[in-house]
Amino acid sequence: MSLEDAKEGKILRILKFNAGQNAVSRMNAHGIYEGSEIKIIKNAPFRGPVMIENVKTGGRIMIGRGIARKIEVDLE
Amino acid sequence: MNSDEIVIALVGQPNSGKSTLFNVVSGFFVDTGNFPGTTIKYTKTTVNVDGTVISLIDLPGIYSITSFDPAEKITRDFLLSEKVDVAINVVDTSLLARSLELTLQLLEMRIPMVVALNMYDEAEKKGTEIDIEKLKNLTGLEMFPVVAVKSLGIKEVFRAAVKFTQKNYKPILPVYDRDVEECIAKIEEKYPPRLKELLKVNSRFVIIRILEMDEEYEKFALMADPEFLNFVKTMRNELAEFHNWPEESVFSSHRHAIVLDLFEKVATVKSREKKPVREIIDDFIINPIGGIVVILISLLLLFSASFFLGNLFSSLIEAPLYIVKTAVTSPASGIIRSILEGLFDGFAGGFGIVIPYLVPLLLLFALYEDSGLLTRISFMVDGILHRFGLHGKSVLPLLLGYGCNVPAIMATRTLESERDRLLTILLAPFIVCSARTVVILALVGKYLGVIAVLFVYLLNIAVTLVISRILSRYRSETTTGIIMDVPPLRLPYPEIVFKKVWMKLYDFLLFAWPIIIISSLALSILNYVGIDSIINQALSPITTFLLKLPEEAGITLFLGIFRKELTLIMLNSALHTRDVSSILSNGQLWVLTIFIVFYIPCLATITTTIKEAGIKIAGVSVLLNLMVAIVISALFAMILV
Repeated sequence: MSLEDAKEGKILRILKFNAGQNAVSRMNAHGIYEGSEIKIIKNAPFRGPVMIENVKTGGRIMIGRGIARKIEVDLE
Repeated sequence: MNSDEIVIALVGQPNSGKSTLFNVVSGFFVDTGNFPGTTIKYTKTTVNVDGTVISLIDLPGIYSITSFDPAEKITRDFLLSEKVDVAINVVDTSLLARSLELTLQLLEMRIPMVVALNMYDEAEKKGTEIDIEKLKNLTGLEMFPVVAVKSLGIKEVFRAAVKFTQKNYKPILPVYDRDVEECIAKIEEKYPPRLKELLKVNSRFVIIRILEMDEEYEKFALMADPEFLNFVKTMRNELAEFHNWPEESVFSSHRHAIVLDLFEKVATVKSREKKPVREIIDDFIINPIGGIVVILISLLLLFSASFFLGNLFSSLIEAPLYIVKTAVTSPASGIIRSILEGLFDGFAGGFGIVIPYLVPLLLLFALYEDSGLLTRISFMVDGILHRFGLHGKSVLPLLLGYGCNVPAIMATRTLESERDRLLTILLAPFIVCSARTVVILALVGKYLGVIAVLFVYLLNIAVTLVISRILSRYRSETTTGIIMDVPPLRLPYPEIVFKKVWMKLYDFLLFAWPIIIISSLALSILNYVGIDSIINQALSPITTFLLKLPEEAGITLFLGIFRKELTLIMLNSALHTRDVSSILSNGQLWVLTIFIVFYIPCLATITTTIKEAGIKIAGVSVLLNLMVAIVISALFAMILV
């Protein structure tokens, strides 16, 4: 399942980044890696970004819809 | 820099409170500058710690030294150069697990440093308890709990930094998995001496950088020994295949694992019984309905503050300024008087028009920014802005444009991607600044009513969005997706907010105000020399033919490039009346106002654009505004006049 379709409030694990190198290193910089456990906080309206929380570090970040589409996640 | 001064650099991730710490210790006058050949800014100040003079540099916030961001490269090179005596790594303790990634990288660089565990109180609030002694032992670094906004722990950090000696510094480098360490050791054996000469940086750090695909260090390696580089590349490939990870993140993933392990060793996280109030508020703000309500209220507050406070202040200072002006200029005559008048008008224009509108805007922005509200607004509007090719982060610069376009263009520095930055720079001059607001209120507001004013603003917003859409089509690559921190909501600290407003204002006073004064002077002299009729004739194809305005409007529009708000005063004198409606029809008033709203950015804005984006973009900006202004107002002229 892609992060774009994930339901709010769910805790998921990131399986794979299908995004470009630039996006991947930016996500790494924000503490999001393949294997990271994340919680879906909110899907912005008008097909805006997805707000997620890294369960381990506690940091919240927003990820643009285009990138979120390329992130593969699965239920814990 | 003085040789007996100690140079200390602040380095940390964005939102770590690095700049807050800097603001707390700095005075009111700080130096800002760009790193040579870039738009990346640093701030510098002098601090006295127990009699030792410190030159303190606030480096740009960086997440890591892994990605391909120019700010990260510059920070790295600056720290590795011998210009810095000690670095203070500012860490957001409430996000310790993430912040330590940068700390470990700085450790690998082996630069002298101490760590400020900032926002220590927030970590406690979150229920995170940190065993500082253990963390110190595991890293070999000196660390101090700090709450920068409350000035807690700052002295201790600075004292430790001043007393820092290489002798007692025993950093404990992170140790990776065995296969990674073996890989580094094998590469180390073949490390070319020539590379050591080229890069005076410890070899382990260089090897790790190349394993992380650092393009610049790869070039150095190629220069030193192409075979060595090939060897490292082969090793990198093997490592990636072995772990089944993409090549570019195999190393950072390892580091991430080390950091998480370190975090688990030193931190205990207690679960909280109930949701803190700020999270309940946050949930409301990021809910679509709550969000729209909050955005509308914030915008309303922004505009009303700018309108009412701005109008109030500028009307309060108008009379005293006029008295001073007559006192200063009346004894003189001829060209001297014109020069004095020009200088005074420029001074008064900055003081009486821009500042009253700009200060309330800057103040509210600082509040929105520091509370975390702006991040939520970006989150809510990113989806809409995306459709017009814009980035959620463009909101701040564009809204700031309603005060003055100059700080708006300066604020585009927060946009990481060059494409988004240029697009925002090109759009900023379309935003109706306070000087043009004055014109709109005085022409449309006075003669055509409030609804008409609203229409002008809506038209302006619609046109700006359409232009954004067209421009973003023209730049083929799409806007980079947003990846942005969402810091928790916080109550802003008045001191920090005022400091922030002052810094932005200081930028304006130092740069834009002198240009306003010079433009005003030029204007006054041109007026005295009397070139109006030549310019009126030269511009008549536009003014009389396309826009159907009186020929005398030409000089006003031309000189309006220097100072937008003066178009009004000049219009009065050019048409020899204080009641413009006696000469211009309602249709002509529309055409004139709309032209003024869209045409060439003022000289201060153009100069800022040149400084921030180069002369070519500034040229594009001028042409674009002129074209849009002519097309739209000619259309209005066809329909209304």
